[in-house]
Amino acid sequence: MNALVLSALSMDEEHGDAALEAVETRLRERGYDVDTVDVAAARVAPCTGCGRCGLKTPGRCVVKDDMQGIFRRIVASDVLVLATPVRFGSYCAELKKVIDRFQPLMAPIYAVRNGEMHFRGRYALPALLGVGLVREAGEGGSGGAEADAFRFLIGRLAVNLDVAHAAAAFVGGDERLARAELDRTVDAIAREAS
Amino acid sequence: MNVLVIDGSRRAKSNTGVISRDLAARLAAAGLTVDLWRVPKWDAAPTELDVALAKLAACDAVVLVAPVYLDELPAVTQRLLESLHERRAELNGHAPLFYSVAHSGFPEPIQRRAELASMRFFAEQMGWPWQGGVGFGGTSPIDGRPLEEAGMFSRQLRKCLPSVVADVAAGRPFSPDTMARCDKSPFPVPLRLVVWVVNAGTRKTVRTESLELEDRVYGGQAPGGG
Repeated sequence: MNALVLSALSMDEEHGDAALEAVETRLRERGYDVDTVDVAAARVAPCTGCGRCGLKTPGRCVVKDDMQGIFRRIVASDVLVLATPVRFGSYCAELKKVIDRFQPLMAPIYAVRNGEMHFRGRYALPALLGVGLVREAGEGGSGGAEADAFRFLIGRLAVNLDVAHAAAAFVGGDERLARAELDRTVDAIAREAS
Repeated sequence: MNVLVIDGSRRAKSNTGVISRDLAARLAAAGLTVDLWRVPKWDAAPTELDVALAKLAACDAVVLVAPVYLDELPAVTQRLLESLHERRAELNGHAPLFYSVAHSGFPEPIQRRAELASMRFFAEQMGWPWQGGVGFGGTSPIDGRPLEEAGMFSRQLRKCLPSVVADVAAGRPFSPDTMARCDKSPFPVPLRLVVWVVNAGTRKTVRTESLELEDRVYGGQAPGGG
């Protein structure tokens, strides 16, 4: 099984390396071949919203940069991990720049999903695991309100991409953010992905 | 009252630009001094942030208008907020009122909820008074046209922006009524009919131009294993 980790954890100089190592270790312990892309170092331009991947060159992004390879690695993986410092309850900008380019993964035909209007999926996409790096634990060690917002966001991305299995977990410098939660979440997503 | 309206999109002919310009004009007509400024490019020089900080230091209120990309702010706008947060000490405690406007092509309010929450977290972490956020759905058909030329597709915006302006001009938070009235579907028909009509137009283009919409150019499998 393959896990692709799109990581912006390097944007947190203090805790990012340890957080990424924790995620990679847990995935390897569960039998995954782990492929990690440091999105902050990747050559990825922001999406210009040109729309060509819709009807001009259906399914193909015309921007020739590292996203071409990232698309191939996404559709070949069993689990896609989006790992990021949580900024204002969201992905940090370096990871969002990559996510903004996901449009070619969807077809320019609309569907009603969850009672909402969305693009139809183009690929059978991997299970989705969001890993948020938060600085301080909130009530109950959960990571607080921003973590709750990030969890909601990962669920929303799953609906957008028509991904059946998605979950979020949190790591941080605060010991109250139990690594057990990360273990449980990786276990759950591994079960679902298999 | 000095208001800084931030156009949170770098897309050419963007609907965000249309809404920002319309809102700025309405605020000016209401007697406010308005500065309209566009979010910098991803690779903009650091001096662009100096410009932003100077504008923020000179304003009493900020209205951030942004599109929704996959439920959240575009990366360039997220980056601006992160950069401002890193340099917030340079504002020496100046705390403008912060309002936000999120819009997207999808009609359901839930598709804008995460972005509006992020703007609230930003305001709180900047120490700026959060004045609320409003959402608008179904904006794609505006297609870069001035609101008055976009007919029924801009009706919801034209109907609700006066309430937005009234709240900003009074320096009060968006009222629950303003927030509830803005984010309603502009389509007066059931969602499945909207989807059918839009897809019919797309399929006509596909037939005319002999396109293969389902191509999977990056490999992989079709949804459902087909």
